[in-house]
Amino acid sequence: MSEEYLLRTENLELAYGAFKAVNGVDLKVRAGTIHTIIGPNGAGKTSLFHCLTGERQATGGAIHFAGRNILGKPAHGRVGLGMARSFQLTSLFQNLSVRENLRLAAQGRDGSKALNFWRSVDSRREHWDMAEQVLERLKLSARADTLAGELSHGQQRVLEVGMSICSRPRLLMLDEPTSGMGIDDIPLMTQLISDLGRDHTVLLIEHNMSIVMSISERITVMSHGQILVEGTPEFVRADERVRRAYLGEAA
Amino acid sequence: MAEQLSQTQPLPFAKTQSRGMLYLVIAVLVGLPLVLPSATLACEILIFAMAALACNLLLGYTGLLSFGQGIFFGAGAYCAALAMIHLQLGLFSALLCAAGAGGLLALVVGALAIRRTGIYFVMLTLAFSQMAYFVAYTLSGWTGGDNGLLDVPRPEISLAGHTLVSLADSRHFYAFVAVLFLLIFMAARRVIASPFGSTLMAIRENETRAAAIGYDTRHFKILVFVLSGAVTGIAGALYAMLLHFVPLSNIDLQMSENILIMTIVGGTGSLFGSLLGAGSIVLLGDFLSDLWPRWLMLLGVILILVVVFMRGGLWGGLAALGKRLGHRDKAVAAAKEEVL
Repeated sequence: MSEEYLLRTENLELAYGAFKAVNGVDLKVRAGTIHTIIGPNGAGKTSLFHCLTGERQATGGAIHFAGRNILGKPAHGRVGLGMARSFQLTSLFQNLSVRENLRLAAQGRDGSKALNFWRSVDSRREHWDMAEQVLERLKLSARADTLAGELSHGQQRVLEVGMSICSRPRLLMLDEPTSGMGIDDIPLMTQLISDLGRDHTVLLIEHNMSIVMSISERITVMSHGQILVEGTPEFVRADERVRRAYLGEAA
Repeated sequence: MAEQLSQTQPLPFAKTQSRGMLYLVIAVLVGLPLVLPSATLACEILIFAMAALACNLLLGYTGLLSFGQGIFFGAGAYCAALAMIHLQLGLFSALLCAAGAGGLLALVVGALAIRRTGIYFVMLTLAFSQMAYFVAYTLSGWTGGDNGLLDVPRPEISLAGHTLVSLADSRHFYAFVAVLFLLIFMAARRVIASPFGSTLMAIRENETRAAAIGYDTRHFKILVFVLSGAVTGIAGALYAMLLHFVPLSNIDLQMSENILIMTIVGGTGSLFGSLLGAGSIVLLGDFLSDLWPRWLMLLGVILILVVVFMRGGLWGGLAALGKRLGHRDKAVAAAKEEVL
């Protein structure tokens, strides 16, 4: 059973004083799927995401990743296990080249081996190779030597997502990858995510409903820190409670 | 595949550029004693350039503003001096002692200070600096307190009990310091080009992201502190040997400030900038103090000008100037071509 689910939380809880932002969540992400979390503002999506990435320490429950409880592991320690994330607000190394951003992300998987201060970065050829591969996949090869901060906003969003695949993760956690993107760039991002979904398990937080409905295999709807409904896009679309809690609000 | 990669990567350029920089440093090292009135002044420049270079690893490459550099400088000076006086240690063992003392203290200061970030980190390094000063002041039996530690020897370079070169002549001592500086400069370049060094820059740019892609940033910060402290300790020891004396001001907060000022004026994020910064501040001090007893005021004015008008310090200013001249040359060449 644990093999079937790459990521599984049990009664997960994140409390700020008396307020429980995440209140007993049992999330199950099947390996090899694109799984999206949606919900109205304040539903606890981002808090849940922070618990999963290690940015915040959950105050109760368990997080099983690939069969291990990783509840207390710090964010950097989760990369070596095969988890990677992107940020809702673009978070790049602005004054380093696009290629160096990707190479650093690949090197991150080395963990404390990267403390080696006497070898050249060229001694780890595989990180350059990975950067090169990802550049091609992101269609950013032509801009490899540009500073990340000089890319267009859309390209920065693409790089933001691309950095997360450099560590060869099993689970990609993407926090609103289309946030702030222009309408013209969105199809590109949609295509990139479904492309990444072919060889990674993807956990997605997204507001854009057309993307959510078109690429997700499973959708979890959250409300008030709890899971309201979970199922296929068709199932979720048809559910009366979801309409009331979320879609109804938009309509 | 390999060929294709080498085509797409800017390595050859980086390598020629790096070699050019090395030649430039060697030229400066050879030229300094020829241009300057005394070898002692040239020694002083290189010693502070060493300390500024170590400070640059923290400030320029990792983004850590440390007021603790004077601790490591002073500790290096005291430890080397005491080891030479009481244990009759030779030149290299004394320098190793200084590097060890600087590195060890940097480990302690670094490990505690990086538990906080931003302004609180800076405050912690300041507090440590104050503490170190009063420790040195209190232990006057060892450090000589206000009077300083006198009669520091300058050992010769010896091998198996035989004296190879005496360093009593300040020109000989300069040659020794210059070789040491070159080695440290090359080592620092190597560190910067390593996985470790590239991660330092990632931390400087965006620590949250660096942690998110798998780096335990605390370990990187502590290690860069240790490396910086060790080099600063060596600089302190050399200064003690140069002066034959360790004044209490070596471990003063003012020393930390001076090292920081040299680093910033020279240009953060450029190792050659540290040499420029140390050179210009030491020379200005030497020149201005002859002109006017209140020369520190003039130095203040110059500092303000550099910080306000030269982002990236002297090195940044020179680089920008070079670029502009280059563009003008190109523009002129292009114009000529058009005419033709």
